[in-house]
Amino acid sequence: MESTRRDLLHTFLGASVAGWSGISGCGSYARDPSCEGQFVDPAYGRGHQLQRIGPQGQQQRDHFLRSETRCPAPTNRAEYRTEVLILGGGVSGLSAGWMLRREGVQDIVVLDLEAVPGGTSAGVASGAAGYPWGAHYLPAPQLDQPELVHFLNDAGCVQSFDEEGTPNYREDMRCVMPRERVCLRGMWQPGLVPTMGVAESSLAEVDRFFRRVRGYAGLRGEDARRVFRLPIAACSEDPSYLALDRYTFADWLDREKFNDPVVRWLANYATRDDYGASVEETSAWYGIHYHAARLLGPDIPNPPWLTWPEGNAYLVRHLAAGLGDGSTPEMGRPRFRGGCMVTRIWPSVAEGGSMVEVISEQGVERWWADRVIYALPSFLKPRLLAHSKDTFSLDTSAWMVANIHLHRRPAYMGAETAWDNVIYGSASLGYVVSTHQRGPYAGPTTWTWYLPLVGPDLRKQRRYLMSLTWKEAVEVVMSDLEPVHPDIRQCVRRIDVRRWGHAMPVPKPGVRTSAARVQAAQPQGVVHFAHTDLSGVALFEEAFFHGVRAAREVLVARAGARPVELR
Amino acid sequence: MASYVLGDSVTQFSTVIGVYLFAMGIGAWVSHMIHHDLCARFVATEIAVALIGGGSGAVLFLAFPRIAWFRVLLYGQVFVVGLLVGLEIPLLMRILQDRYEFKALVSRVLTADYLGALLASLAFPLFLVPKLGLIRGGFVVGMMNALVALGCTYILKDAFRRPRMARWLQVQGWIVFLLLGAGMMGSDAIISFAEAQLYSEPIIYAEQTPYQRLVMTRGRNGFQLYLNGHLQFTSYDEHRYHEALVHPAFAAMAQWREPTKRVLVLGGGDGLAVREIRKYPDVKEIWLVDLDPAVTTLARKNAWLTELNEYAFDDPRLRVINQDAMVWLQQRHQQGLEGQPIPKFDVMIIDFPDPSTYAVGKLYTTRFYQLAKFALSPRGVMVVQATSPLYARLSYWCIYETLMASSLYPSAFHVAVPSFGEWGFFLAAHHRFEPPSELSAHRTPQSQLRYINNAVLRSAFVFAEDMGPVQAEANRLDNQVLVQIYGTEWSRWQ
Ligand SMILES: Cc1cc2nc3c(=O)[nH]c(=O)nc-3n(C[C@H](O)[C@H](O)[C@H](O)COP(=O)(O)OP(=O)(O)OC[C@H]3O[C@@H](n4cnc5c(N)ncnc54)[C@H](O)[C@@H]3O)c2cc1C
Repeated sequence: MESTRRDLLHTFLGASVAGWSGISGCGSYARDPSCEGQFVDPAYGRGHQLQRIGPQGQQQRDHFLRSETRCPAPTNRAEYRTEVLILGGGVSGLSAGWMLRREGVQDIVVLDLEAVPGGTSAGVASGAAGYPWGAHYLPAPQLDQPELVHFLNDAGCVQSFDEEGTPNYREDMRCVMPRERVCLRGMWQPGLVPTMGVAESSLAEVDRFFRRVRGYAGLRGEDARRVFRLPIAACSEDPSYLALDRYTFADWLDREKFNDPVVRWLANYATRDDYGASVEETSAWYGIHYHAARLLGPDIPNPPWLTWPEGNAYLVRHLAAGLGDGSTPEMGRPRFRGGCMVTRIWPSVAEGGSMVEVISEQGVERWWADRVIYALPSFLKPRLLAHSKDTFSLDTSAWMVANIHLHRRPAYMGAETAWDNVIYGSASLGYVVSTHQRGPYAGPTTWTWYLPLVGPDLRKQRRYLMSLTWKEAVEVVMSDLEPVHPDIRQCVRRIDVRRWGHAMPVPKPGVRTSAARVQAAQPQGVVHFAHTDLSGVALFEEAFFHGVRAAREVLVARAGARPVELR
Repeated sequence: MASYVLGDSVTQFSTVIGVYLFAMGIGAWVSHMIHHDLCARFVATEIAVALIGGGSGAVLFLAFPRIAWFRVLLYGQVFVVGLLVGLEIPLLMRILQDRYEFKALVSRVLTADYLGALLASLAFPLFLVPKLGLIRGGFVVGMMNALVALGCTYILKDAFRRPRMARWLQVQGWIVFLLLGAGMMGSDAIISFAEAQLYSEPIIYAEQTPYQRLVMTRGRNGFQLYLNGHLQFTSYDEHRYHEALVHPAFAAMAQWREPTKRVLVLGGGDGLAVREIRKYPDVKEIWLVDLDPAVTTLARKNAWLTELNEYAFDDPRLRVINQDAMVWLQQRHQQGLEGQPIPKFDVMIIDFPDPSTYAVGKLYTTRFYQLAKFALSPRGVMVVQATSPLYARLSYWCIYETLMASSLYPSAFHVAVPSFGEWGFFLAAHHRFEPPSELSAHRTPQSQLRYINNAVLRSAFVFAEDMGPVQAEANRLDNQVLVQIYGTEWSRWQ
């Protein structure tokens, strides 16, 4: 027993736990945490029930419903109608809703498994004391993403525009200095890359690495399109650059002779942070994309990062507000409907519409719609969509996110606390301080700690994550932080943990150039597709892009059917 | 710790970090020269770390006021502990590598750097942030180290070449363990003794709050208040500071013939600014926002302080809000945007500690002044404590630039406060204005000023050549240039 537990924790944090056991020779891992807390992942179990249902058919679904303790037996089978039905209230679904509302579409409903919108960009907003559960920042978009800038302006993030129309983002939403610090050998230092205590040669290599990857910024392919930009769909299709998608970022680093350990760590940190994948799994194309896509040229400084105490849940709130409450006399119902698990989608039924079957607290519901926007994760598609022609499949990585509520700030050595606090050599990504943007700088706060479960066998990692008890999860968090904050246990009031089973798609080699990926974004009947998965990576910009794109498709189709209505 | 004793600044920390990591590098290099008896060497190193690291906090605190070459001692300790930890990591790696059961583990997950972080935490007490209470923590961590060393002598028994060596190390380990244990038992005494040594005058009050350490000392010339080791005031000359902080603003208002009904104090929980404000009978409301409830409670209850602030906290016009000033201003701003009626302030007194850390630096940014501006009535005036135009000239004018960039019109003035030196402030308003030349006459008859008169007021707005304006960048939340400038400027005077 003890040894399997030990293995388990090794899988998560390797070094730190192994370190303790290596030194002390004894391992009491599941120490009783003195704090409160729980798993906070409302939809975690339910998603798996869905897997059990499978695509087979009614019989099994009814069986499932009977065995489902929380739902009453499906005595009533409510039927609803709407013009546009959006499945999934994450960023992509909400962006589609925002766009449709902007163009005057009234009859929209967004369905989501969870009670509140946001999906992987969810968070808790409460004045200055909010905190994220998933996405926590957005690099400030420039004019090459006009739609997104438009939305951010709606969301109150833009202070002013200069003469060329370049947005000036609000000071309190740009990440407050110091943005990052990194802990090397127990000592915090400013910046993401350690500069003290590493060899001169490493610093030179880091410099060469940045120059090399940033060298791709602004570069154009033969088709005159930028090689790397956002959205990914607008990137150049020049085969000489797409060749980067044939091998991993690790291979690329080898080819370019980046063998320095600091550079390797940095590159790996970046892909783990943004894609939940290590350099060994990430396509070289995506690996470079992270560093080059947001810059118009190699010498242009990095855009500021936009962030809020509650993370990107701030943006979610504004997207959701954009839906409006929909309480027009005809509708009399909110446009967002939580607690609804989509179980089956029939893309075309009689009258040319679509029918979606949903399980809600009330039982089974049937939703009829002229148009459906599928803004759910791709891996569910084969299970949900009847007659799916899709051949696109992605691996997804699991993440563990902990919100650590502290009644005072733990001690540390070295540089002052930053927004993002990274531990060199750790399997985790470190933690983000929720009060950093708005203060106060002392006293109680909340830290959001992130652990992407990377590795060659993602399903195994996911199983590990599911098998953890809350106490063990807390121990994983503590054993990561204790070496850098020895008194942390005395400062913790509460630790809540969220397990994201399928947090992010893994952009493996071949994903960028996959014809199936492009195909997966094509509508099937009246069903349109929008999810960040369609880009092969999970990013706000991509989710937003696909949402807006799917909404456009719907608008065009709608205009074809009823041309007068499009504004 | 280093920052507590030497005064914190970014440069300060860089030096400590640099020395420490450099020493670790040397340690690692030295370790390659060790070929025999790895276990014994490792255990011996570990015992040394236990002793030196564990006791370092106490030693530094005790030594600080006594020796002139404190810095040498500090960096010496940093270096030695860094060296030992740096030596230890590769040794441990090599020991573990030879042992079959650890082999897979070492190759798979145990990275030197991460293990380094772990071991470095054993040196923690040396660097602990300003918490004197952690002297005890230092001893505890040291004791744990000694136990680890002892544990190794038992667990890795067979790895020792000479059993007698193991036994000898055990004896050493126990001795160090007991020494540290004794230190821990006596740490309360050490703390009060060490703290007493830190301050030049005897301590009459000390308290650790969640936010800071409060210390009051008393000597022949009155008493002092320190927050985190930084002098807040000395009772014999604080009147110069607080009169300069309050009365020029009221003078400006009087000159513009504006009423001063509602006054806000940000920071200044000692009540001394409030004491000055109370001299104006037409003030109807005084709001005081200070982060730390312990400070305002102290100022309300402590006999020394109440006498000095003339029972300011008993004034029915005063309302105290214990909140972060920026958070509080933000909330009011938000409420204002939501259409709630937010009363504005005629005079705002902004009196924060110097911008020596990013955490305080936030309170000197364009964002902060914009929020403050929102809270200021259209014809009101604010005054900002702005460091020394002499010792930190660029910092001072950086604050000026920041006020300008926040669409405020600042006017610079300065006074001499012996315990601080030449000290600077800004008046700032929504509109352009001439510096006030005459003190407001609307004072209560018995409230004489001890320092400022009309001549002093006028001269305060005159700047000598070596303090005059210099070009600076505005301080924003996302660049915090002021903290960096201030750190560099102030480190010259240490
Ligand atoms: C831990 C973490 C950190 C991240 N950090 C960042 C970051 O800092 N910046 C950034 O840009 N991106 C980040 N991301 C990526 C983030 O995923 C995207 O920014 C974006 O939120 C994706 O939105 P989406 O709508 O495409 O997908 P999702 O968020 O996956 O939305 C899908 C929605 O569908 C719902 N759903 C699923 N199954 C069903 C069903 N059967 N029936 C009904 N509803 C269902 C879900 O509840 C969810 O609301 C992070 C992701 C994670 C997991």
